Amino acid sequence: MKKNWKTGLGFFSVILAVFGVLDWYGWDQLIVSKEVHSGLTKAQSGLKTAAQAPLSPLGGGAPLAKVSKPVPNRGVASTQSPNEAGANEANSGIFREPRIETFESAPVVSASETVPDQEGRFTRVRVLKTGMKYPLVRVEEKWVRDFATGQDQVTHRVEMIADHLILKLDPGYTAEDLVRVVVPLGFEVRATISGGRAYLVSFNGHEPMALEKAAAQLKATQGISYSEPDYIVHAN
Amino acid sequence: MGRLSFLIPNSVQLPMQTCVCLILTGALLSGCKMDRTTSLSGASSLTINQALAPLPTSANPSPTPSISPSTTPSPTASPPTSLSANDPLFSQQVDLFQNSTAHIHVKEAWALQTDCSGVPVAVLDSGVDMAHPDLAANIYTNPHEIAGNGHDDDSNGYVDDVHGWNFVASNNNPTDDHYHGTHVSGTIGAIGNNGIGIAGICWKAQIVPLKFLDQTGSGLNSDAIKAIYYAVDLGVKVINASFGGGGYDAAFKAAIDYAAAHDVLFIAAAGNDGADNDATPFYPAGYASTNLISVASVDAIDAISSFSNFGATSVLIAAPGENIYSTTPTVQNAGMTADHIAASYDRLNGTSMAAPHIAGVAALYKAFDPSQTAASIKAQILSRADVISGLNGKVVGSRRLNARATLH
Repeated sequence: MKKNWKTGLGFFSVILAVFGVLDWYGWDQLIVSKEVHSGLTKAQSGLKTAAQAPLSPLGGGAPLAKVSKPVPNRGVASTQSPNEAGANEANSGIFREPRIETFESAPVVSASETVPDQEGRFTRVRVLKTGMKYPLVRVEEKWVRDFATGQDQVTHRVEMIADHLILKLDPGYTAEDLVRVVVPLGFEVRATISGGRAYLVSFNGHEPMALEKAAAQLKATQGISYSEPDYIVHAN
Repeated sequence: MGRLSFLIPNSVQLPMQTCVCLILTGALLSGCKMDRTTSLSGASSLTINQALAPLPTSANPSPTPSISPSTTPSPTASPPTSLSANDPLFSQQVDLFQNSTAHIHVKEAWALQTDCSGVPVAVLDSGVDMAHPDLAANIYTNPHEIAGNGHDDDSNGYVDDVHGWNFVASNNNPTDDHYHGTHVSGTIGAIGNNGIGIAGICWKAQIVPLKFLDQTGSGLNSDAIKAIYYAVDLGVKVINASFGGGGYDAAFKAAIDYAAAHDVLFIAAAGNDGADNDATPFYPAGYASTNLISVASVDAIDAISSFSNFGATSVLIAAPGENIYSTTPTVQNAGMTADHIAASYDRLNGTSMAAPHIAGVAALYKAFDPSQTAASIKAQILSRADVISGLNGKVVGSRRLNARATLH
């Protein structure tokens, strides 16, 4: 009897300790998971029959191959399939940032590079043919060369459409004025932005310096308030 | 004890001191509940009833959620100080949930306001999965357009723009063929307390999907400019811009200033290069427009995220941007597969994820007090933010979003 009540007390103590830990940590961590899984699975089965078809691929050239910088894994990789990972709402431990398109596999139409200065700084400009809605993309990169090791490192990078500029007219000038002024210079009005608040003016942008020459030409043209690159931006 | 002897192996014997310690430990842990919501029920933020809320069925796709004690006060009880959502995945939203240090007090804000449906929010992004069960009812519908008639009924220059617009393909289908826009939209306005998935900062919302990022998550400034003018002319009050790159663009600045002139807030992510925006501006977050709020990312302990851009004079506030659980397209697409993104819900990091917290709270506050202007909403968000010492030198005023204080 004495041995039994001590043994029972010991067992009760362990149970109470376990209950205490669960109560502190959260019962919902245990109870929710199973219900969530079954609930979400049912919701998903209804969804899949009603989902809209995805958009058709962009036209204008070869499909855009995606080569992005590696995404750092900050935890344990999940072995679940993507649907399981979502349905089970388990924390896979993978923390992701949206990857940025860098056009690294896009064909190079033309390229130019300045000579490194005394500090090793140089600029590389490439015109690429991509799968974007306006396929010609100009990538302008600033680099630094370590003369000791011969290693180059990019310090700044911008991407823009290679064969058009965003242009704004001076007050009082109309779309007809724009056509009258730019067409003789070899430009075309590619698009009107929001009822004439700005315009896209296109030119032959296959050469690396074509955009800079076009901008200089338009800057010197009466009636044009400014012209600037149509930069490419990315989800972040 | 003899009848119960089968429960207790004869080999299990513990010293008396050990038994006392275990009993005390159990009692101590049970009584010591850290960082729990104080509500009428006294329960944790997700009660058993909430977790076991009725599942949607084909006959009843939107079941009446279980009512927790905290939502049905007795006549003599005080109003709730916080409100929890019955969405079964709410516990995964550590940015909104109780247990993180970077506590933005969303549940306390919900005690004051959950419905933002009177405040349209434009999401300039990769589109939205408008069929997602946790978003569908919160997608904006243009009341001035007759769907499918091929006419520009509201004469705004866009034909059949019933649910936003796709500026990439120049059509009326802004369905997300990436995942980024759907994730951002979920943080702002995933349907809350519907017994499905997660809860957005706005349980009811009007999200205007304006797709200008393509299936790779890339887009053109010219399309973003069009989207801004479209959004402002449509009558939105908040624009979320979780993107960036390129250089200064006067046309883009002019579009943001147009939004300011029409009392529209522009919320911009600060960028993910870990760079100092004071030294090298990141656009569009770097435009000095009166209606712009640039947003950095903090982690669960209020430290600036390692990837987050910062700026002691140019980045105005921080919000949670790590491990953010939100909606994703329900049908797997190529971008999701390539980036290992799960269908329906998944986690992402980024200042992209931080910005929609600000956008959601801005919409919540505007709904709470419709008399507030874009300028006063911005001032309120910034002035009522928590001051976090670890953000000194990273964000103006070392500020981190506090949703409850914004509405108070």
